[in-house]
Amino acid sequence: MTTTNIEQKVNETWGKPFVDNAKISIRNMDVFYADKQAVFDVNLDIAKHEVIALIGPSGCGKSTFLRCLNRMNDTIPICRVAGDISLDGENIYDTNMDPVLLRARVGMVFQKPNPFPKSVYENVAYGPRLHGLALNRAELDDIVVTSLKKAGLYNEVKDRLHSIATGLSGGQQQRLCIARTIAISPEVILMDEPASALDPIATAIIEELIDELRKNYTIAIVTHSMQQAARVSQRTAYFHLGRIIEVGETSQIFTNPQHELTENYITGRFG
Amino acid sequence: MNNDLSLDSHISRRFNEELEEVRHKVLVMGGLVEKQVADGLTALLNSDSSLGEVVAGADFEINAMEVAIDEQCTHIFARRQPAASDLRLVISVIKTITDLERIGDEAEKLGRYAMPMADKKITPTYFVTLRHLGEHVKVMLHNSLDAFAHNDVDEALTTIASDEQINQEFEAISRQLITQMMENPRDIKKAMQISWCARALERIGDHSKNICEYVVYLVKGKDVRHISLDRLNKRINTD
Repeated sequence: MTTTNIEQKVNETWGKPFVDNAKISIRNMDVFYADKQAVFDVNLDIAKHEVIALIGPSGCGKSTFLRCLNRMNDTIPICRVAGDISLDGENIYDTNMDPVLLRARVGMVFQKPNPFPKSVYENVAYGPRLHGLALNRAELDDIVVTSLKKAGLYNEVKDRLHSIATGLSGGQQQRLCIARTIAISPEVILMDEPASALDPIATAIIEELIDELRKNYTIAIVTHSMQQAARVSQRTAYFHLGRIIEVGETSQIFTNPQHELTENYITGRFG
Repeated sequence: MNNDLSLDSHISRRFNEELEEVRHKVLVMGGLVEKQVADGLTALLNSDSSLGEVVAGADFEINAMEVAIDEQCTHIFARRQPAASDLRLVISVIKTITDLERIGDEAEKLGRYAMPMADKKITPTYFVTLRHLGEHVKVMLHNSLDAFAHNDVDEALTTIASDEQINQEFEAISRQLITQMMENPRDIKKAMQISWCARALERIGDHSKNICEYVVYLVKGKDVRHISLDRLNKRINTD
């Protein structure tokens, strides 16, 4: 394939970007940092209760894209988002949409575990308390315990709920952050390389957890690990220079990608 | 997507070498298997028991190659976790060498059958149809290895289609042998031995067809096993 052909082919998304049961729909999304465009005309649906993996080389716009889904980029003054992004048919960039409430519905877990310098209990209780989800202490206790259990952390921390969270291991801290996200009952969880700083055991636990969480949540995960994307997701989208080049069933993307750029990336070839 | 697997374009040069090496070894093994089949057939048709003995004794080399290539593929899985066309290549290699090893077993059978048949001084007229079938099978095996070497889907498809002819020839030989056995019961043993040889050749055709199906999977990413020719062509032509 010549370079010209590849250039022509990056202007369209190959595969199946749209689904029937979309939780989040993105249409014609462009993202700019001041004059520089980082994301170009992205069209994608994220289905209910699916894990979608976003893969691509560094700087291809996948994290920028992810952060647009709960308006995290609002905190960057020079960032401008164009196009339509809807959650259950509701435009999340509508002026009536409260970003704080949006982020309660669309939670986020970051690359590096970032627990508050508070106790394990307080980390998880913080969100429910802020959003008034518990009427009394018993209800709050219940939310904390349930969230820790869902995050697969409860048995490891039940005897030290009131110890400082930063004393936990990296893997435990990351699961605590997931528990903190779950505590406010989000509908969607965005994960930006959630296991990149963890050892293989902690990574396996997080991946197992992602599979478990899928029953109740919709998950979009950015990862640089091809094997992780192949293991945890049902669909995969490949980003390249700010565009989605190809979207498809994960099993198809990793065994028989249709676009040469996708093939080059996942097989470690010069692109 | 073209048929070029671009094995030399990985960022890891060592990975390029590992894939190229394993591919090369399959072709070497294929060459060895081809020679075994040709020698087995020659031994049989020329009633050459000493050549038959050589063929029967040389199978260990093919078996050893299968084990070595298998091990190399295991290392590639463990070290590289191949994906997409690389994954399909390693899978195709593993499956291809299994079929090549079985072709080697069939060639060994030809060599083994050649020995007692030479002693029995079977007249060459019995071999006329076998020779014809053998030549077709040799061409089919050669073409399947050629398709693998060049990732040539067109050649693979033509070769897959040619298996039908081999099957028909085998059926014809079987019918002919049954008639001979009915007409001349004293020749049943000889006829049975020829039938086993024909069966071995027909199986070589089946294994060659399998190799071609792996070539289609390797290049197109489509599994075309266990389907009719019509469905195969439809599947190939739908993206």
